[in-house]
Amino acid sequence: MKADKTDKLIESAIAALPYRRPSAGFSARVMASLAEAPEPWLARLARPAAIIVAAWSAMVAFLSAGAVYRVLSYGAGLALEPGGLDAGLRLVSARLALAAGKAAAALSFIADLAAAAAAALACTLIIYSVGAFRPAAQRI
Amino acid sequence: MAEAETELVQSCLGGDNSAFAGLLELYQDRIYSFALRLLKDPVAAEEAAQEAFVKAFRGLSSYNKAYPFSSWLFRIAHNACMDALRAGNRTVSLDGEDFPDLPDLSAGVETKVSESLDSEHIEAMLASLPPIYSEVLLLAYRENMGPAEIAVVIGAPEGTVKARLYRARELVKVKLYRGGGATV
Repeated sequence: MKADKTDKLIESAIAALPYRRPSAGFSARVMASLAEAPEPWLARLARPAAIIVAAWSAMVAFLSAGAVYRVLSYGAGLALEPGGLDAGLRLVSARLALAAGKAAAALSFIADLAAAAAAALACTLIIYSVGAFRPAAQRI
Repeated sequence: MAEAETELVQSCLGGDNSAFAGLLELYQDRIYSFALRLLKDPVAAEEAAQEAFVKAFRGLSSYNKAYPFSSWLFRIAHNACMDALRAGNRTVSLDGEDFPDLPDLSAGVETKVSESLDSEHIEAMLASLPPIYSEVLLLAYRENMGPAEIAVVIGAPEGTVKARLYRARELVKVKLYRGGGATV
């Protein structure tokens, strides 16, 4: 019974603890940060979208760097020869015609890339939305 | 839930953001005090309380009205405080829920405890406890929450809450019996 009475004493002592007040302007700061807060879906979308766009851009730049270098180095050599400018223009035209022929295949490849990127983005959003409602790990 | 509180929540859900100021006014002292007693630092406590209110505002649409609004808000505050403690590397292992052997306090403890229980002393006592124990004591006795409600707030099973409450009370008794400064 003594333990019960001691427990009651502890309970009432804790229950009687006064509430502390935050510093002046706390409410105003919170309301201001609410106004600044971006829409959650937008905030959730922005970061993974930026990462995916950056990653795919880097990959495309890396893959096309070799071809661009070859064209530029060949074109520079050609421009130094007499009548090189005309030859260069013809070369560019021929390359463009060749590229147009491959456009369908290229578009199909880009569509595949975009679909893969969209799937990755969708998966990321699902993981983020599930994680948003998970309680913090109880390690403390 | 109080009627005024219900109306404020409904107004917020209806898109009236200014109604959140009313909820903020109702809860700011409680949430700040809770954070302060866990984090023991006024600046960190204000930051955690602010984060909790901002998260509550953003996530208000996910609030389930079947549960008390206070439990939902305290759960967010609990998470913010745990994040702050973790960020400050003030971690306490829960492996085995460290609980030392306590002495038999049957003789004389009541007198000792009743002599030591002024608010300053109990405040210091709570501050000296690991956060997992001070938290359940505050939620149970200062916020009048039952074990089931505390379980929702801290995201632990109800049995764990009851065990922590028991252990927390025993730790307080030992500390008070030993004069408050003893490390258990």
